[in-house]
Amino acid sequence: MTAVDSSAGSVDLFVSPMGRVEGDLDVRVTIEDGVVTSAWTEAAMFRGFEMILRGKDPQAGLVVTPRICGICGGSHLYKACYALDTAWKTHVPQNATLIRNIAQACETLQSIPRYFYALFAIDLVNKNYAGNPMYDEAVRRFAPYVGTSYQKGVVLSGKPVEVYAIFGGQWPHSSFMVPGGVMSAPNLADVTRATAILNHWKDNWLEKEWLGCSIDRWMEIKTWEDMQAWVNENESQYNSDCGFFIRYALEIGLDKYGAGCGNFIAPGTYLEPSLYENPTVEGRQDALIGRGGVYANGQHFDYDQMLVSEDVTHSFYSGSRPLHPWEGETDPLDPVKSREKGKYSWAKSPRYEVPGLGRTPLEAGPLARRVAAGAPNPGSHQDSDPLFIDMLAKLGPSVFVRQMARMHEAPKYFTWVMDWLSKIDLQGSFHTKPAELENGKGWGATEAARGALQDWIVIENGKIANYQVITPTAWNIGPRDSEGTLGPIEQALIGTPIKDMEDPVELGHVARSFDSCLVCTVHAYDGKTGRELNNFVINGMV
Amino acid sequence: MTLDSSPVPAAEAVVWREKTLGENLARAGVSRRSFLAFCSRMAAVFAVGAPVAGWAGSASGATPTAEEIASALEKVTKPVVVWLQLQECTGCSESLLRAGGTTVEDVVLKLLSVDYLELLMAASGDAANKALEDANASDHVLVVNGSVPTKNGAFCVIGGESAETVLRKSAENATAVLAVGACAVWGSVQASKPNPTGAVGVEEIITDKPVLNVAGCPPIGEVIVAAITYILANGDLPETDSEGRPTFAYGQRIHDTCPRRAHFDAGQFVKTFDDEGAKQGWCLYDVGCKGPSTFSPCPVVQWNLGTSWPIGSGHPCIGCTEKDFFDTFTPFYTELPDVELPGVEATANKVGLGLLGVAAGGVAIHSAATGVRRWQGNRKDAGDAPLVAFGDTDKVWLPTPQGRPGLGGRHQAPDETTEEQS
Repeated sequence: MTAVDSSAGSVDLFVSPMGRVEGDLDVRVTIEDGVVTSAWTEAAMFRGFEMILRGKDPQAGLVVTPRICGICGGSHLYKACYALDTAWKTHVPQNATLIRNIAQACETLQSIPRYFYALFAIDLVNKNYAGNPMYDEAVRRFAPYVGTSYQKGVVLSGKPVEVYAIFGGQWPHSSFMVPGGVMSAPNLADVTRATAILNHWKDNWLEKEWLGCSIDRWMEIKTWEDMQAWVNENESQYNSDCGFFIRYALEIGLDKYGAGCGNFIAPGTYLEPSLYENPTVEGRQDALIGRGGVYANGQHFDYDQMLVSEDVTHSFYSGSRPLHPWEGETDPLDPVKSREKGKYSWAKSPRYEVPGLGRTPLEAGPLARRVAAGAPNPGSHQDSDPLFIDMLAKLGPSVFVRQMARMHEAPKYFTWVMDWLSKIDLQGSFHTKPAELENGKGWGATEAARGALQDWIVIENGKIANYQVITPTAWNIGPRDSEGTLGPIEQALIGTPIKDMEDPVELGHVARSFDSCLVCTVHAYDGKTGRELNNFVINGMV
Repeated sequence: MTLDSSPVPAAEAVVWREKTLGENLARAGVSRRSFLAFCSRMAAVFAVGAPVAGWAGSASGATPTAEEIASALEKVTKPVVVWLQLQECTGCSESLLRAGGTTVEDVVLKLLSVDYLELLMAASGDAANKALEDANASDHVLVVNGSVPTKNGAFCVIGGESAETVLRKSAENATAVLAVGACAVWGSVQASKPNPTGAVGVEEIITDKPVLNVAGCPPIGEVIVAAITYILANGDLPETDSEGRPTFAYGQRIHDTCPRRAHFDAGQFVKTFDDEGAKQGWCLYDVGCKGPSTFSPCPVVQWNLGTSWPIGSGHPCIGCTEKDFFDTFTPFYTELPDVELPGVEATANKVGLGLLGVAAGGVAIHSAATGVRRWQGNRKDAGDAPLVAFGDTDKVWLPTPQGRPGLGGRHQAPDETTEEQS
């Protein structure tokens, strides 16, 4: 794995004759002798949210940041709210924490099947696999629109966000979480409806189509051997979408590439209501249900937001050194001129100061969360799950393992949401009106479906003095840093074997396995001649 | 790659191969029953606001029924649609995809935007450029999500060209232009002060032809689909208000059809998000509801297949279908100025106009609760907005110890322009 770029400049990368009508993210790769040798990820859009927030009412972040991404708007709201809770030192009633957890988890529950069928599985029926004996079955299930599983998966994926709408009024782009709690004061009918909708989703998709078994049976799996045994246990599991996907993925080699940097970041999410009634930056990690953590060079570390910084060496911003987000700057440069200095993306490069390793690029996302869940010494209220530590040890990171980590969260989060729903005290309080402090610093974090999502806010004289957001996509697609170290997706693409140079579906698998929230266009170049081989689009939805 | 990577039957299913939309839907495996279900959702949207007049093929000459929509839509032959996504967050697409309980909407949209999709799937840059050029050269419907940065073209680059260049080229031969979502309508969040990228809406760039503004951040999915359905079925743009929004959906203020309106009239207000009033479903005006000045079908169409809507869940309306709402409606959780309470019918109506400003023009505002009144107002001439940007402290309205400022303060009362409709 080439983590440090040595081939920059071997291909003229700045020619972009792409005819396309969409593309927030360009991925450029060079291919030599059928293997990807280098990769560059370029974010191609700038909107200036952090500049807009400066000087505004502190609560502006609640409405502005969800508009960064309509797919993860609920996650943006969740962390923007905690950034204010910590800055204003609010009191958050236990009911409000439960409802915030429920809403955030429901956004992720809708993302899982939607992503799998509408975005990821489409590549599984690529004609490059037509010679495979399992191909016809893949087509029968996953072919877009007509696949037997596609229809059910896509339609039922909308169900969990109906629960979001019950508490938040709408999805996407509700702003119902506010410092001190939530706006909604649900009644028994609301909770009953939410429970019924989620049970419908579980009965008709999760257990019936995806698992082919009960949630309880699936959650018994603790090792890679358990998972293989589960597939072969009975017809129902063998032939479920999950059973079929495991068999097919191994058959076409999705476990063989797309490793990435192998180091992970998860701030964690979902607060234990009784432990976080008075949110603080320092008290957050111990109050988490879904644990946070950093995993680097095979070692677990506690997550500390103070160790995060952003590098702009290869980004279209001015600035000479990595800054912690509380000191962060967003000062855009003219991309045309700054390309001459080697800058190539609107994304910054987030890095984490790993003890002993220095500033390190880390992969965010479900696999990072699953790794953190396997760390030693969990609290009694915390998720503890060794499965993916075991799979990493036996298989190493890959497209397949990343994908299974995402799907594993569906039964897990479903169970949690049902538990939280049952704990709501309908007679209790849902909001404590906060004192709007004139000055303060706050940090809010969560795990969007696609990974670590965090806000840092500085309030001075009742206005926002600084506001910085680091998205999971920035962690994953960020460009090279001042050391020339590649970002996680850049690293993951390198070494990918390409069978058909004119239709490099393998790149699609890798890029999609990160589920980056930007629609991205992949450009493939011949590493020797610089000729463009192909370009195609990933995560395009409409 | 998104779709042509699938085998032949699947790829065929979403490409326009037969003559009419109806035949193509049948080929894609969409049942008549789910198509009618889809059309009845559309009929419900058309019935929300101002009556739809002159629907082609409507027996009553008025708002069409589900069957009439189905029969008009089925006969549509392949329209050329160019669908651009500029500075945006994908929220509009997400909303769109939540518009139905089936994948019919998905199939219809894929069918409609097939040229666009073929562009995406084109194997090489040159072929893709040619396909876009061909589509742009013919008569076509142009749908735009997202705003256009005007300060520097490099803030949003598509195929090596600035968003503005791409939009101008695509609009040149467009017979209809739809700006879908607040970004395409006026720039939305990225256009709020100081608007770092100089983001503007489509109608700031395309000034020589009408732009239909499907407002909202995001708009309700059903409303987006209904606007497209109207154009396809009628070959014409629907009637709009002075903001360019289709009156069939945006003809009424939220306040007019709000189920909590009775509490407003009775002076029963939620004071904090957790008080007894909140539990009883009282009016959210005091915690910042912008429903009195917001034109939107939310109370009727609702969200996520009619599951709920913000006010229904205790969330004050933030006015996202109104221009500049990020700057003019903030702080979001502070009440609107210029309203005397408890509300009686006259002041309830003045809330809307107090904010909107008054001038000659052609907007009809219907108030269900107060009897129908016709107001003449052109919001474009409203001038100094009554609630100015937070961060712009000298203009921010602040509560006084005496209570709310009455009408006749900074804003002109709309008395003279009132007339009872016969």
